[in-house]
Amino acid sequence: MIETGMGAVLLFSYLTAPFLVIFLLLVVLSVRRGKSGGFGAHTEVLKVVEVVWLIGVGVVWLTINLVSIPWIPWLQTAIQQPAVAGEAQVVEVDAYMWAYKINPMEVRVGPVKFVARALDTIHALAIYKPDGQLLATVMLMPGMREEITVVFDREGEYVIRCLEYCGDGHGYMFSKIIVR
Amino acid sequence: MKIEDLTTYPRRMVLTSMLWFYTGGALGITMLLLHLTGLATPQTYYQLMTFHGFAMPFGGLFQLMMALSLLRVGFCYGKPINDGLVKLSYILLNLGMLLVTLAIAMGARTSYTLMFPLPAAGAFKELWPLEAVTVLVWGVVMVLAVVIVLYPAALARLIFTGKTREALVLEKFMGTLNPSGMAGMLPYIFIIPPIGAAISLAAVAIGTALLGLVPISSVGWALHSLNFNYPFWIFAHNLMEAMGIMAIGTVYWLIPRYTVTGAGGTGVRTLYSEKLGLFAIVFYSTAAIMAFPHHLFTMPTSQPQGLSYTGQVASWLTGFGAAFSVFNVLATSYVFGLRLTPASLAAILGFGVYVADGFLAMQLGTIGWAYRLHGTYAATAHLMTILLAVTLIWIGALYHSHQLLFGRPENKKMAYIHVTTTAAAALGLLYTMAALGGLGIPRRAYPLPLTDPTYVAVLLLFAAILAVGQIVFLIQLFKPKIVRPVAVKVSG
Repeated sequence: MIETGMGAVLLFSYLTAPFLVIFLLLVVLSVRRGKSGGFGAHTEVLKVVEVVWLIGVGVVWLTINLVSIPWIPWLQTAIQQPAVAGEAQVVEVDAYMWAYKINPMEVRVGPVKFVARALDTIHALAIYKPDGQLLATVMLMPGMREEITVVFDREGEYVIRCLEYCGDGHGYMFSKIIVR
Repeated sequence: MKIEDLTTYPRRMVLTSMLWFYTGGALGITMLLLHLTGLATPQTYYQLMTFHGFAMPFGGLFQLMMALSLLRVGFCYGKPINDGLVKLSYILLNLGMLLVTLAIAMGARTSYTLMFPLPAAGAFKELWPLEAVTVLVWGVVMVLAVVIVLYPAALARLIFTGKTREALVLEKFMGTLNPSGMAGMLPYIFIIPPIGAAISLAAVAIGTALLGLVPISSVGWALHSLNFNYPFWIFAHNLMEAMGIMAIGTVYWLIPRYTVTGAGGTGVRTLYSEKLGLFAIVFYSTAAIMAFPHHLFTMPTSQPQGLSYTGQVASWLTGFGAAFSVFNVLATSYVFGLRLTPASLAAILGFGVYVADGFLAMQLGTIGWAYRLHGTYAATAHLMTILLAVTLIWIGALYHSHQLLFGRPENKKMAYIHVTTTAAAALGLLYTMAALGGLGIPRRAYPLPLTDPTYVAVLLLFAAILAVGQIVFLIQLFKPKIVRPVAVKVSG
């Protein structure tokens, strides 16, 4: 769950909201100490706080950098579907102002390798699950070819949408792929 | 030497920056209204969006930063701020912005990130005339000339050369290499010109070809989208980081001045730990340089995977720079006691918003999450919030120099309203846009693929709060007597 877009945003909220509350409380406390004249150095305590704070930040840094490795699409495919990754169905996608040419438009449940390119300007190939969750997005630049393998774990209609601003029809640039 | 030698150009820049910032902001609110009502065509919406994107960060925030950083250097080193570099920076930045505005009026709607090769592709598809692209490119070239060459040169000239005029020294000088002095300005001076050189040359080459002075085939290398986007993102990413470090340097300078400890109540003037402050600036600047690949994470084949890993690790390391600063700034306030004023409140609230947004930035700088968030409103949430946070910090610097710039102190009551509403609105916009990003809603899309208008209505509410704050600021600046200062009753 945490690897999804909404998971990321919830984690962001759970970590930053308490941070902001504590930050503001410390600001209020600092102002009160200033008014009351009760300020002064607490060097030993602050040294402990400094070490604890930096260790905490380090733990978050290390944890996310390690935990997030399997979420990287090309590694995710290799980890989840090692046996079939080489047998993925191939879908070719051409993106242009403001439509997609997708071939084939129907695939089976399982790993699918998208081979995509942009024909005129920068576009994206963003694939949404039937429940609306963003499965993966790829940026496409003219003259380049991007390949990404995603695993479709259930049947349904997967919406394809452009996430890179590409001119007047950007908001209308979407299509779909059927998974059976 | 007169004080006017110090204040004339910074004041002009501050007032001009407000024009761009508030016009861009008004269009931002208009864009939200259009999302709710659907009253505009995509063409109109994207023209507004392009102007909004150019005006607020460059005409507005950058110019405000330029004004107040030059002023600070001037009154700390005792040097006039009216040499040719300063004048040319002011003229060229605003002339460039006017050309960009003209190009948008002619139909260019590329977004401020250009989405290269969209300007050319749009002209080829007859979405806008090629003449609009030529005007846009030369407008951008002028803005880049200021951002990459003239402004850092003006700063460097004031810091490293020239004679100090004692009459212009208005604050105790804390040292060029001290974080509570000028250290926060040095990364901009030394990183932005070399890192921005390639994109500047590319922009000039393309502009020259568009004018027909050289054959278009001779600039083919710059027209290739991948070739263009690497120097573009190396520059654009580090520009935002350098502006962020400049803002953190401003917090390092302001907060110690508003502590209670110190001779004559002038503040302690140094951070809790100057060494940690300097370490944080150097560490942050160094890590930030190699964080730029996170803008191109979602090109799994074209971008080398090793570059992506480097970008992820470097992105997260910038968080350490921020973590050092969080401790140092709070320890300074706590140990020496914080004196609450509009300047100190704006600086510390802006810093808090900056750090909170930084976590979202690091999430976007994580490869696994980038594949689920890039191009959504989460990216907009981060960009908009970092700009608002940095603006808030500079508002702190503006209140610090209010008397010097405008000849009278600020109306405190109105200034507090300005600062608190700006901070509250920035956080409200951040969380709402982040939620939209979590839902996978594409940024820069009109219409938005949303069946429920609640999110847009909430965004509009926070945008309105932001607008109210700025209106209060304008009133306090131009009609300060509408709200009287709080009367103090003296007994006996």
